[in-house]
Amino acid sequence: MSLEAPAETSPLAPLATELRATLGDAILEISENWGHLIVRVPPDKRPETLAVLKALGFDFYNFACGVDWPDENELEVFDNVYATKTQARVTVKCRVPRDDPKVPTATGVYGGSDWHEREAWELFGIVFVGHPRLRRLLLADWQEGFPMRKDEVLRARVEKPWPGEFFEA
Amino acid sequence: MTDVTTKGYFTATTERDISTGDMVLNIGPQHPSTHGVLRVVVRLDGERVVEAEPVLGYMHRAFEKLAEQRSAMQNTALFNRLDWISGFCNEVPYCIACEKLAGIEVPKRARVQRVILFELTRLASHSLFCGVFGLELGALTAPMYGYRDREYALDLLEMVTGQRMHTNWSRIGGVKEDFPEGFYERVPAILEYYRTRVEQWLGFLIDNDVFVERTRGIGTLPQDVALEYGVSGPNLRASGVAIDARKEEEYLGYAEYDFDIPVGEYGDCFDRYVQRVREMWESCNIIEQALEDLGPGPINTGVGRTFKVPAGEIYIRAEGPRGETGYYLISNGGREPYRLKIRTGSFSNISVLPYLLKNIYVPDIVAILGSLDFVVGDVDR
Repeated sequence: MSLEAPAETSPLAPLATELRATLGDAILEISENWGHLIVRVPPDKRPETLAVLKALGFDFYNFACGVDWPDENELEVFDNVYATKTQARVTVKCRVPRDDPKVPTATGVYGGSDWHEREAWELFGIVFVGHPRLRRLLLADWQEGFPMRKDEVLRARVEKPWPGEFFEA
Repeated sequence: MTDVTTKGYFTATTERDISTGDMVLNIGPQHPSTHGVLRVVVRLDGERVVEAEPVLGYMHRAFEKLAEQRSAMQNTALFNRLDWISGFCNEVPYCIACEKLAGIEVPKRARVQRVILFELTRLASHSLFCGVFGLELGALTAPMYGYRDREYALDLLEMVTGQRMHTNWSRIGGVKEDFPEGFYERVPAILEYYRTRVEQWLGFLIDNDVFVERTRGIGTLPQDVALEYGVSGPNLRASGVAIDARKEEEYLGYAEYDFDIPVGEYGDCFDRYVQRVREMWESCNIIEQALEDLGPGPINTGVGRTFKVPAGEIYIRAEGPRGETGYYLISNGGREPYRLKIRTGSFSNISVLPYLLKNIYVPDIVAILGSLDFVVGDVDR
C-alpha cells in the first residue's frame, strides 16, 4: 500500500505545505489518497495536529478508530476530520507499540472524539491518556480481551470455516 | 451508600445526601421512546435534568469484526442490519468503496436504479419518523399515518428486491436484478401520494399548538457543537449547516439531478421535524428525474463471488436518512476486508445527547430523543 505525496497540481498541495510549515518535524509523512490527505504523526503530537487542523477550518469531527497491525507489532489510531467550507478531508494517523499502546486524548480539541476514543479503547486496548472517563461504551462489563485485535479469533469461523471454500477450486 | 442503579456512570461520587434533592432516573433500555434498547441515566433536580448519560451497547453485534471474517461479497447482507429502517442506504456506500478500490465502473442503469431505491428508502424512513415523532409527543394518530405511508415505499422495495427492509439488493459491481414489470407504472402514483402527504404532514402537526409548544425552542443544537460532535444529516441541516454528501461527493451521479438542500434556522426539535418533511419532497423530485434518466443497458458487471478487494484504503460516505454513512475500508488484497470502520450517522448524532439533555424538563427528554431519529442498531453496530 504505497501512497504518494500530493502532487503540486493537486488541490490539497497548499494544505500540505501549510501543515508542514506549522507542524514542522512533527509530520512523518503526508500523502494523498483518493482525494483525501493522510498525515502521519508521532502519537504525542496527535492533539497538537488536530488543534492545528481545527484552526485551519476542519470543523467537522468525523470519527476516530483503531487498526491492528500485528506483523509490525503496532496499533494505529485514525482521526478523520472534514472542513465544511473547503470540503477537504484529512486523516491523521499515529502508530503506537502493541504492548504499550498509549496516545494522548483529543477530547480537549474535539469534544466529539469522546465516544470514539472510548470505543477504540475497549475494542483495541488503546489507552487515551487524559481522557476524562475512559470506560466501557459498547461491551458488557464481563467481557475480557480486546475483540478487534487480530489475535482475538471469531470462534464460530474457526470451528466451521467459510463454506464457500468448497466451490472455489 | 453505593447506588447500584447508576453502576458508576456518573463521575461524581455515588454517595448521595438527601438534602441535595438530586434523583437518578433510569430511562430504558426498554422504553418506547428509545427506538430499540438505548438506556439513558439522568440526574434530576426536581423535574429539571442536571446531567444525562446515554448507555449503549445493548445491541452491539460486532459488525466490524464480522466484516473482517466474511468475504467482501457477503458483507452487504450484514449492513442491511445496521440501520434496519433504511437498510438499502447502508449497503450502497460499502459497494461503492469496494468498486472504487477494484476500479470497477458500474453501468449507468445500475447506478440510477440504486438512486431510485436509495431515495425510496429515505421516503420510507422519514415517513416513519414523522409518525413516531408524533407518538413521542402523545399524538397517537400520527404513528398510524406514519406506518401507513411507509408501506407504500416498502411495497415498491418488496416488489424489486423481495424484501421490505433487509433488501440486500446492491452488489459489488451493480445490482442483483432488474426492476420487475409493472414497477414503472406504480411509481408515479406513489410519488404523487407522498407529495400530498408532505403537505399534510406539515399541516397535521405544525398547525397543532400542542406540538409547537412541545418542540419550539426545545433541544436547540448550535452549529459549532453539532459539527464538533460529528452530527450529520437532517439533524445538522436543521441547525443551518447546508452539508449534504449528495451535493459534495461524486457518487451515484446525484450531480446530474436538480434538487435543493433545505436547511433549518434554529436547530430545535421543531426544525428537525420540518427538515425531514421537506427532504421527503426533494426525494420525490430526485426519483422522478432518475426514472426519466433510466435507460436500457446492463445492470451488473458480473463480479464473481470469489471477488478480492485490491490492496488499498478508501473512505466513502453517502447521505443516508440518518446522516453520513461512511465506510473506511482497508484492504490487503484478500477476500475479506482487512479492517472496515463503519461510521454511522446515529452514533455521532446521539453522542451529542449529554450536551442536549441539560437544563431541560423530563418530558423534553422524549421529544429530543425522538427528534434525533436514531436507530440503536445503527448506534451500536
